[in-house]
Amino acid sequence: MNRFDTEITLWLNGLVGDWGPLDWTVRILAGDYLIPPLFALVIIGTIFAGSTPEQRHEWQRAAFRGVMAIALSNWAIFILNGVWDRARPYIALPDDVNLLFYPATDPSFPANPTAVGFAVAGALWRVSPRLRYSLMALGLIVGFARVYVGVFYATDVIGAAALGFALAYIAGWIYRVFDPALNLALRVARAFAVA
Amino acid sequence: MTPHDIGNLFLRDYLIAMYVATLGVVQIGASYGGLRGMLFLPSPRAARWFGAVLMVVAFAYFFTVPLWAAGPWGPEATDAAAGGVSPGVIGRDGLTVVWDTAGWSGLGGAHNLNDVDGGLSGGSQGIWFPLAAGLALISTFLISSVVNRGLREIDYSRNIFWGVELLKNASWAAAVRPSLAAARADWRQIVRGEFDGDHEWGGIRMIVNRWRSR
Repeated sequence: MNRFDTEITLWLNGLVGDWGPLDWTVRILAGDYLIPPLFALVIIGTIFAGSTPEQRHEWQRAAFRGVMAIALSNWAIFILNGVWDRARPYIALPDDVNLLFYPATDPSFPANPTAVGFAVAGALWRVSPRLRYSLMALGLIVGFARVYVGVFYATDVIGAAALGFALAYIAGWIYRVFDPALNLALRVARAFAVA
Repeated sequence: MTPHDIGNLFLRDYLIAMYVATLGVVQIGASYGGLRGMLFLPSPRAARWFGAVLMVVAFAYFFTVPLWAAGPWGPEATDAAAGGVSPGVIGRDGLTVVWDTAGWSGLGGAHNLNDVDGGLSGGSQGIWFPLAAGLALISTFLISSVVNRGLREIDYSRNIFWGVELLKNASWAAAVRPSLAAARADWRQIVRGEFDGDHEWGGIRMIVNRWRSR
């Protein structure tokens, strides 16, 4: 772990306790049940949001890639956790870090929700710039919220963002390899007027 | 209370929240797509706002449940022990807490519960979220079919095998039969069309075309 990484992490985490409402808000933002489900909800919304049949078809394909990218992210995180068991900041720096979250037991790198957020943003890249940047912002917010509460380093978040983009790109390849089977699945859903 | 009991409590609230949030996001998506037959309200703009409200309500419900429902988010057991309250469980933020309701100040971290202590792991969210979302989608098609039962304009002059495109002017109940009939009539042509043309990455397409050319 380099000094720069520690300094950023300790600076952000050092804000804990300065202002109660900020701690309160960040704990919700860092949680597992607000921003991570939003990524999945955005994918569902995308299925229906295209205004022409052609646009909807493209967006539905993007939604498929988004689901694949989430699955790939979880798999890649599982593999990486086995390769590099990076200790969480609250374990590595017990005297300096204020833990404001549950003591997560899996390795610190990569920041799981950030990887998922950037994977979804990459998969939905062409849907809308506003959506893309919102998803990236949410991925960074949940990542840095977890730096604030003492369970990630800043580099876990940055590395996870790069990993998420890479996985979205790989999801695009996989989609093309399985083309047109996934298109046919869309056609079946369309036959029932649900896609 | 065991982590299993805590997990069940969590799961109930999570499923309700994700069900309602999915209802909301589908309303927002369908309003942008102009799919009147899927909307719960006549105006797309109103439906979009209604969808946003549903999403806010869903998450507000999930995060405020600890205010009125007892769970692993009460005060720390060490503090409470002085007042003679019951022994604690491992709960919010990995602390030993009393099974009790939370106050506003404790609400921020009330749901921050490790999966080994009864929170939902990423894997179980991956199972339960699609279930809640699937139920919400089914509900959307059924409820909107009742609300929009007067919408029955199917344009037979166009290629109607466009799935939800039909829901721009018809309810799902009115659209599903013509859509299925069109799919039944055209499925061979559709499948053939998908496999025609070349794609350097199309693995399945490549295998099928090689088998076809024998």
